[in-house]
Amino acid sequence: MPTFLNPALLYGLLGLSIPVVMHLIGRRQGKRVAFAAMDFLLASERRLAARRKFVNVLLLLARLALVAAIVLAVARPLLQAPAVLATGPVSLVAVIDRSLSMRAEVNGSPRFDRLKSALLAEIDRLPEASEVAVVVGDTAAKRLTPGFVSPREARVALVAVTAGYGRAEMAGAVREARAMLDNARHASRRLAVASDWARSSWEGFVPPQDIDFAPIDDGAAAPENRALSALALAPGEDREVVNLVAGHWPPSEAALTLVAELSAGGAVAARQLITVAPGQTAGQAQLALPAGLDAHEPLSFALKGQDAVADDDRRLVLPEPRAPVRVYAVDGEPAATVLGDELLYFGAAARAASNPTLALTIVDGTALTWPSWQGQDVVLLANVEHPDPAQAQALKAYVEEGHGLFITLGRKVDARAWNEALGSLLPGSLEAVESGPTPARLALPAADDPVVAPLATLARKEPLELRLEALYRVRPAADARTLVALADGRPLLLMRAVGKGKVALLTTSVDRDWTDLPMRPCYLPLLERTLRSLAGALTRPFPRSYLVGERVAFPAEAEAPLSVATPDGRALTALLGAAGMSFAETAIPGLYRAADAHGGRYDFVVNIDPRESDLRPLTGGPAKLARSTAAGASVPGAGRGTDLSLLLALVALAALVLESELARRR
Amino acid sequence: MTTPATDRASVLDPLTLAKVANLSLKARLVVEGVLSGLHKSPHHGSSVEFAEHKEYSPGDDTRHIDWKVYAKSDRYTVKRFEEETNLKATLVLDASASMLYQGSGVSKWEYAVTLAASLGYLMLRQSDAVGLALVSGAGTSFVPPRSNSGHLKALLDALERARPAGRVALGPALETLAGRLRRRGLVMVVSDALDELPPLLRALAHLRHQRHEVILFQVLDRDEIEFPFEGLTLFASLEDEREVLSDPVVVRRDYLARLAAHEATLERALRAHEIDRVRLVTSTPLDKALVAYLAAR
Repeated sequence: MPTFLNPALLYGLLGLSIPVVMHLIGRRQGKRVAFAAMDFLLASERRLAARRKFVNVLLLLARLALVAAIVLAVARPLLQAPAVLATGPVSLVAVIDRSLSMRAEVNGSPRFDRLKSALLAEIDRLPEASEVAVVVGDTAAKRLTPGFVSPREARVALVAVTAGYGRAEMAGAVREARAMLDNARHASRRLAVASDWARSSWEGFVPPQDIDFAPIDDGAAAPENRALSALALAPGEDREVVNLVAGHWPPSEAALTLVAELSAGGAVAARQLITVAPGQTAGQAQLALPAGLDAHEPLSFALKGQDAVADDDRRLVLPEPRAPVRVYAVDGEPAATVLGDELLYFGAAARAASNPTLALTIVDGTALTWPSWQGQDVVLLANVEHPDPAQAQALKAYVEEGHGLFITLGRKVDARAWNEALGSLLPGSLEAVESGPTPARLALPAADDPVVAPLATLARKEPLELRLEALYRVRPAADARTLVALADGRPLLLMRAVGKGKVALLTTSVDRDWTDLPMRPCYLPLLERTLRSLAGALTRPFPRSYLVGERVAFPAEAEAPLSVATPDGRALTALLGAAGMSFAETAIPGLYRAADAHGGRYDFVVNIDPRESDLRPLTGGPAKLARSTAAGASVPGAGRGTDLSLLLALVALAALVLESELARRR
Repeated sequence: MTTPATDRASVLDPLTLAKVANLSLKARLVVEGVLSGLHKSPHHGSSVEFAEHKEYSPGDDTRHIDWKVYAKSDRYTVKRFEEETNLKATLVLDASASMLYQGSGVSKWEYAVTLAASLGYLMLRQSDAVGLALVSGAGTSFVPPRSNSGHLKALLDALERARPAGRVALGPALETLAGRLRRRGLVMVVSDALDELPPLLRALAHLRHQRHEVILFQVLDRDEIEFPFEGLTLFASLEDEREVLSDPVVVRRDYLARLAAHEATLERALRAHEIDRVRLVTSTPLDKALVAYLAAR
C-alpha cells in the first residue's frame, strides 16, 4: 500500500467528477443541420452506435485516468518494495528532525507534518513483532521512548511530536539512535531518519555503514527564505545604532531590498531598507535606536512580507545602556601644575558628565609600583618611561587574557627599554623621535575600521590636519594595522591583536606637548573608540539575548526562588546549581520575564538560531546518503520507498495521448 | 471581354440562374443557351407523315427545310411529321421535403424546378406535348400534356405554386401515373432518388413495360455526395421528426459506402431497363440535363 508525501493533495481526486460531468453534458451537444439523406445516416449510426458507445466509455476512462494520475503524482506516493515487506521482525529507530527549518511551508503544509506522516508510514509498514524506538533531533538529541517499544506505542509517541524552534544537532541524534540499535532485539536493524536535510544540521554528516540507513525526504525543493539573522549594537554619531543583518537563501540573481521595522511598545518606531546584493545571501544596514528606552520592554525588529518560515523574520531585544569602559590610566608625567599633566585633556574629557562611556582610574606612572589593574578593561600607559620586567610580564598576561593595552608616547619614553620589555606586544618597534610636518595632513589607511569612523566622516568634509611637532618613528609589526597615518605614510595610530586582547599605539603624545590633537573635535571619539575597541566592546551583542535551547545563567545577585514566565504563558522556576541560578526551558522564542522574591528583575529574550534560516539541503541531498549507504556491504533494503510520481506522470501522459486520439476518432 | 461560350456558361450556372426570379425567363435562358451552343441538333424526326410547318430554329434538321415555302415567302420553314408532333412527354417532379435541402449553392428544389421548366419550354418550343406531375407528401397534382403555346404558362404556374412537403412514395406515385399514361411517350422523372429503391424501380420498370421512354434526372447536393460535415452534429430529417446526433468524421466512411451502394443498385437496375439516368449536382450547369434529354430524343 503506497503512502503519500502530500496526502492533502488527494482532495484533488474530487476532480474526477469533472470528466463524468463533461461526459454527461457532451452527450447532447452539437450543431443542428437539417438533412435529406437521413436513411443512410441513420443506418450508419445504428451500425456505429455500439462502437461509439465503447469509444465514449474508453474516453471517459482515459479522462478519469488522466485526472487521477495527475492528482496522485503530485501527492507523491511512495511504494514499499516487496522485498522489505517480506522480511521478518525489524528493530527500527525512527529519528525525526524537529528543527525550525522543518516548519517551512511547502505546497501549503509544513514539511514537518509531511515528513512525520512518512515516518509514521514507515512504522506502519513494519512486519509483525517488530520493535521501534523514537529519537527526536532537537537542540540536543532526545529519546522519545525509553527504549524499544511496540510499533503502536512508538506511533503514539511520534504523533505527539511537533516542530520546534531550535537548531537540531542531527549527527548527535543519529549517534544516539545508532547506540540504541546496539541493544536491539532483532537481527534486522534499521535506522529511519525523517528530515529536510538542511545543510546547517547535516553538513559533514557521514551515514553509518553497518546498518540499514533509510533517509526519508519529501522530495520538495527548498523554498526561498529570508530572515533577520543578526543584530548588534555599534557606536553611532551621538548614541548607539543597531547593525541589522538580513539573509536571503538561496542567493538571488538580482539585488533584493528587504524592509526591516523596529517596533517599540507595539508601535512601529522606525523602518530601514536592507539591500542584499546579487549572488549574496546577506545584506546589512544600520538603524538608530530611539531615545528613552525602557530596559525591561523589548524592542521588536521584523522583516516585512511573508516567506517559507515566518518565525525567523522577527527578533526581540532588550535595550540596555552600554556599560562604561573601565580604563586604568597610568600617567607617566603627572605634573605639579595642571597644564603640564599628561592626562589633563584626556581625563577632563573622560570625566565629563555627558560622557558616561568611560570610567577612568588614574595612577601615578612615576611610582615604583602601580596598584593592581584587575577588573579594568583597558590599561592606558601615557608617556610612561618604561614598564619594569614584572609589570611587563603582568601586562602581557593581561592582554593575552583578552584585555586592552593603549600606549601613548612622549618625551619621557625610553624607546629601547620599551622595545626590550614589551617588544612582543608593541604594534611596532619604537625607533626615534622625529619632527612632524606642519601642518600634518592625516591619512586613513583603514577607513572602514569602526575605530576611525569619526575621522572618516570628518575627512569627507575637509582635509584632516593638525599641528604635530614630534612623533616616534615606528617600524610596524607584520600583524599590526595602521589606523591613522601621516600623509607621508608614517604611522600615527596602530593596533595589533595579541592573544585574546589588543594593543594600540599612539606614536605621539596624548596631551599637547607634541601635538594639538587634544584640541581637535575628533580627539575624544578617536580615543574613546580606540579604548572601546581594545575592551572588545566597540560593537556588542544585545545583552540578555539567547538562542532557542540555550541555557540562561542569571547573575550572582539573583536570589532563589526565581520565577520565570515563558512566552507561552507558563510559570516556571529557575534551577539553583553549583554555578548559580540557571534556566534551560528556552524552547520557544520570545520574551521571558524573570523576577526574584526581592523585586530583582532578570528578563531575557530568546531568538531563533540564524543558521536554521538557510533551508538549502545538504549537497547532494538524502539521495546522496542513500547511495552512500547502499554501497555498504551490510545494508539490505537501502534505497527502498520508490517514488511513483514519475510513473504516474507517464501514465498521465499516456492517458492524455489516448484521450486525444479517442476524442478525434469518436 | 467574354466570348459567347463563356457567356453561355455563365448563364447556365445554377447560381446565376437563381438570381432570375421569373421562371419563364429562366427556362428560356437555359434552352436558348443550350441550343445556341449546339452545332448539330440531336433532334431527329422519325415520322414520315407530314403534319404541319413550323418556323426554322437553330437545331432543326436542315433536311426538313421546305425550300418551296422558302422560295415563296423568303422564310425558312421546317416540315413537321405526325409522329413527332404526337410525342407526349410527362415531367414527374419529386416534391418531397428532402428536395428542400440546400448546401452552399441553390437548393435541390430550385434546381429541379428550373430544370423542369427548361425541359417544358424546350419541348413546347418543338411542339411536343408536355404534362407535369408534381408528387408531394400532400398527394400528386397532374397537368395533362398539351402542345399549344399557351400551355407553357400552365406548366410554369404549376411549378411556381408547388411547395415540397413531407415524405414521398415516388414508386407508388409513378405506378399510378403509369395507369394514366395510355399512349407511349417520354417520362422524365426529376428526383433525388434517395428513397427506398425497390418500389421506385418497380414503377420505372412498369413504365418501361408500357414502352415509355424514361429518363431519371437525379438531383443531389454536393453535401449529400461528399458528406463534408465536421464536429458533433445533430442531423434532423427534412421530411419527418427523425433526428440523430452524429460525429460526421466517424460516420462519413459508412455513409458514403451506403450511398455508393444505393447508387450502384440504382444504376444497375436502370441500365437493365434501358432507362437513362442523368446524375446532377446542384452546382452542375443545366445544359448537361438538356443535352441528355436531347440525346434521348
